[in-house]
Amino acid sequence: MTVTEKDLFLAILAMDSYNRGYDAGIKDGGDADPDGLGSLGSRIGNAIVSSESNTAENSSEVAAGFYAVAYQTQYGTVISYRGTDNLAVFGSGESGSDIYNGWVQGAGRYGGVE
Amino acid sequence: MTRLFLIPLVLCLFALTACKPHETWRQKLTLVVETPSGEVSGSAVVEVSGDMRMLLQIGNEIAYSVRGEATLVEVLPGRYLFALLGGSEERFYAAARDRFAGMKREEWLPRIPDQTEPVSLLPDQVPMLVTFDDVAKPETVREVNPDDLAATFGAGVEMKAVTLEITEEPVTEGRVEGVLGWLRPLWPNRLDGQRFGTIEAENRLANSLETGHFSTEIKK
Repeated sequence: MTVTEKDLFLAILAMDSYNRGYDAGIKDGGDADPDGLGSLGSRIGNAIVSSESNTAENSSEVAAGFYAVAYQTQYGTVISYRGTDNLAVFGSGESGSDIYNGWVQGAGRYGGVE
Repeated sequence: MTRLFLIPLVLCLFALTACKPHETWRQKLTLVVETPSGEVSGSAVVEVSGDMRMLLQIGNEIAYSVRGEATLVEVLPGRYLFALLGGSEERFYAAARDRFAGMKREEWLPRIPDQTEPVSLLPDQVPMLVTFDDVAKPETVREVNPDDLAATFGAGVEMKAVTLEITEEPVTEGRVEGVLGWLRPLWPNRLDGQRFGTIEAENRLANSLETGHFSTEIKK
């Protein structure tokens, strides 16, 4: 299977959502950095972060452990969202649990908030 | 059989994680502003929790949570200055870093609640400051330069001091919502009324701010 430049870049963007917004994996402004590698308008390669879900502590997105970001790229608009990045069963800090809010949907709990 | 050896290994890792600190403290931010009619000030107490026990589950070294609201000062009649919540988590450590020289986070974190001396914030440590041209309209939010309050509020207005102290006082509630009556009806939208942040917003500042920048208690 041939991996194209587009494939590689989309894979990088898929990973990049873990490094922006609240509880980012990479924080270029210290551990209290609110937006990881940068929020709206910041760049990764030629892509620009053009939209993101809410990141304040009182938002329903953070309570659910959800984060998504959109990029304007040469391939069009790309949406990237995090999978499981929080294995704390009841969440951590203000961030909701991916297990409780996400995994259980796979077991049939269709009303999950994530 | 070999896999059974993994059980004590995992238990040891969890035990090591459990030894990490989990601290909660309250910190009071005070703004003092000089105005033509005299000095005015405002304070707000925020509760911060820092939990380092989550290492294995979340990957990050620490998980913070903050409870409270922005600090507000009525600079002039009907004209308010707000110091937003963002960055509350490590603001005290950043401002008093010399007290914790050479310490790792797991060493300085337990010392934060015991700090009795207030600390003055340098200009780059001051929280984001905003005001509203019309306090009844969230979209009229405007950023304020802490070094040039006169540019926003007029001649004779300047920041005299911004201090932070650890306190036992209760978390401040309701003051911001008392002034910004639109906060709760606006949630979960941003100050420009949009649901999400976008670079296509006409009012980028209002689009970048959520109700949570003013109070953590505004939610369903």
